Amino acid sequence: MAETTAVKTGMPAPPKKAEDEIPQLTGLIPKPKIVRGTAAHYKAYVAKPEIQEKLDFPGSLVDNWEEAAVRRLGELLEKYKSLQVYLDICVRCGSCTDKCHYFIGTKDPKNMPVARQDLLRKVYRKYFTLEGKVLGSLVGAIGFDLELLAEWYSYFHQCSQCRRCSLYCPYGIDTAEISMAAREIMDSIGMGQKYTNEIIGKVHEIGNNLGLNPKALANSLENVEEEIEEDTGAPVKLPLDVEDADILLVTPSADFFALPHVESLIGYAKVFHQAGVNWTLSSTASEAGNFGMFIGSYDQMKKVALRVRQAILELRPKRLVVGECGHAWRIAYSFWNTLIGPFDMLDPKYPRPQHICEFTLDLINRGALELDKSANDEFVVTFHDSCNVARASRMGDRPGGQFDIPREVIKAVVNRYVDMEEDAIKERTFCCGGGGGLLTDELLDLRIKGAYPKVQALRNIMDTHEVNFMALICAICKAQFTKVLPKFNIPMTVAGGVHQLVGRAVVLGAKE
Amino acid sequence: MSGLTLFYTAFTYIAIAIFLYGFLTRIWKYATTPSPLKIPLTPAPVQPAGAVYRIIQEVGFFKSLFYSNRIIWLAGYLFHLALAIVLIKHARFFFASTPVAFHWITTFEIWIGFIMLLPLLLLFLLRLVIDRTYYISIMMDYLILVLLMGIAVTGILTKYFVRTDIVSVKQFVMGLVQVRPEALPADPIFIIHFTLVMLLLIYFPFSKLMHAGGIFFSPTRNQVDDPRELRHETAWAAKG
Amino acid sequence: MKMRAIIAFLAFLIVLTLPFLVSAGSGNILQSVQAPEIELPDPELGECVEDVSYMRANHMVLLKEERERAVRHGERGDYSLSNCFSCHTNITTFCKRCHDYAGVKPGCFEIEEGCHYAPTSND
Repeated sequence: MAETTAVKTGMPAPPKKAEDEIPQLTGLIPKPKIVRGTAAHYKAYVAKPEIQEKLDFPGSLVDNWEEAAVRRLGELLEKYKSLQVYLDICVRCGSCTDKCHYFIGTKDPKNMPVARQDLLRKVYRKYFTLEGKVLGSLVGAIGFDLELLAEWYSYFHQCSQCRRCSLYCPYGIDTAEISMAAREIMDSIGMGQKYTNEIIGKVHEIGNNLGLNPKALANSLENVEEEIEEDTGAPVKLPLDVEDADILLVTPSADFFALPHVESLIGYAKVFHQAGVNWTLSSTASEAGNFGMFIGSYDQMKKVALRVRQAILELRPKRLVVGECGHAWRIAYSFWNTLIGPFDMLDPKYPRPQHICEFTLDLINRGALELDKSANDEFVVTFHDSCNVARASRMGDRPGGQFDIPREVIKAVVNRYVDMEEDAIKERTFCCGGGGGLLTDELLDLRIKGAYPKVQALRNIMDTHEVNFMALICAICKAQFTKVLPKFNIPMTVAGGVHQLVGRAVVLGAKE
Repeated sequence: MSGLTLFYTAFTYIAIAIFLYGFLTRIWKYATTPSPLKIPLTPAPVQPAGAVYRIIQEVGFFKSLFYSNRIIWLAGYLFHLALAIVLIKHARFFFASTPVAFHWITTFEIWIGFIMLLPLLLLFLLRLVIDRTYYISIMMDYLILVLLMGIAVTGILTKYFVRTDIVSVKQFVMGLVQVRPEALPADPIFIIHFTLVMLLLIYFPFSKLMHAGGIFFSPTRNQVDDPRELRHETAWAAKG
Repeated sequence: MKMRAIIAFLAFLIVLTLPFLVSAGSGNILQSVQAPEIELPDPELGECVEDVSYMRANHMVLLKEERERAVRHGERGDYSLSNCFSCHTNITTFCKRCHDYAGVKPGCFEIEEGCHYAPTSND
């Protein structure tokens, strides 16, 4: 999300290693034979001391790190039922082994969800279970050493916490929970990841992942207003810090700046404009994303989320709406009420918070928007279910609303819509390959591998149904796909937002 | 009373004590460890009854596994089903008057021991044959399967091939149940069968076999999807 | 929160022990620990066809094999049911006591289950 993919296009760099070759699109999403060690060299940059210290983590690897790590694991086991139960009950049945997009892309066996979990389980067994203490390596209990720590760092930053493995696990074991715990432990001993921790620091300091200060944000919004007026002649506003508005929109900061994100921002603005509601953005809560989740830190996640509560208290909006972002919607939908609730100050007639797709569909169903589908006639559209929306949240009041509502919005604004293959959509969707704090340049080769299963599904529907637009509801998906699609010889313009389509179809000034 | 009887009487009580203490403390830990955040894997039920139904589908039919891998599902499900039936059939040794389910199941003469053994063999082979499962398997995964196969084989032997006198087995077991020790049947196959079961009980609470209880406490499966409607609070998180 | 944990724990215990609870409710769980006494035939009638410990574990095999031979091949031997009846005359006091104790249905006597009529006791 932090990267502005719009300005960074160019020829793909030649692969650094044989393993880094772009996977071939053969028409099928394969179950590869394992090839050991192919992903061992993917290492996210380690956070420098000044980044770590802003989050109250040790600056660099502490002296007694083994002890400290084991102690931290002990604390987490007391705090998280998921961690305690999941470390105990995996039977290594193998059900998850072919389900992870990073495994399918890299073929590295340590990217099989169970093998990834076992990196942590080795330590858990050694220090916390009787069988590990008595039987040792017979039950896979391994003492924590630098070699294992290096594997932790490498492979726990090759998990996008998309929960696809959990869907297929007979016990629902969620590798996201395990990798969050591992990252929290690594942070506590001074082995933080630069990309996520730097961004969290930026949110604390400036207010959003991109580091846009309020003045730059205001400028950026003005530019977007001018752009809309140039295009349409309509005075669509993007209000900032308006008190007592009907709606506070909290959206990922990439929407203010990056492409194609900003197209969705224009879409939201047009929807609000046509609905005639009094809405506002906030410079305090200028970020819906919350990378605190990626590093498993409850405290960091809460601290980032509290900015939203602060904005609500400052601006006193009646409703809270969240823009297009996958992990942000998970946090907003599933965690905000716990972290920064209760939302007694908001109007109970509406969901607290509400997703922009829920909001837009409601307007469409009430006939409050005039839409011209033919504005999107150049597109044959498909929809990518973002992992965090699909498997960690909901829209509407029925289970599965998170699948139906965005599709209904799209179908209301385009004439030609078609879904990708069953195994790659809805709850079975593949992650874009850039989630969970991996959207950083040094992991680009890994991200290409991770995107591969989804890109394969996209390629298939492009070939069979002439699809040329994949609608997204996630800032990370948008940044990731615009970056990696060209590597597979698919134009980056195929990736765009749902509200990008909505924005094109809204007929401005038709209704009040 | 012979020394062997004395030894086995003590051994059995110790094994069962370890099993019960270990199992229940584990379950107690699962039940009391907090879940600070709502993490159901969606689409998830929006009512508690739905979450109960979801767990029943997982425990009763291994639903997620069914949609994931049919071969592992078939082997795993057949084994567990056979194990359940075998356990119910073993009720004849524990109850003076046998439970209803027992009579219902023993009406049919099915060679259930084999239906238990064959999937175990299949699971063992799958671990070896598929490169992915071979990679993730640790020694204990094989040993547990061997232990279970040993229990199944000796059980089959006592029932069909080297038949044991079940009246004296029942007398021994009822003696243990009612804490009035009776003589251990002098049948080597039975003694091996019984010993392996006790070893399984002892190892159970310290191992991955705890999936038997843990599955009920899996937050991604047992939580209700209602975080917007109901504020989810946990003691430690509320402080922080 | 603690309360919910306790409820979850108790609910789990109840599910786990349900078969035992049902059984304890329906029948007397603490009756007859000892294997039943059976009425043995007059020792003057001589030894059984095999020794006692073998017969206790395997009599059903002999009976079944013998039945196969008799019904399919028309051969009758020492292991025939009627030969058994010549000494063991009372089902209730000999067969049934152990069979009831172990919860095993005899395959010989019930008309709908097996193929033989019960012998009539001659005492």
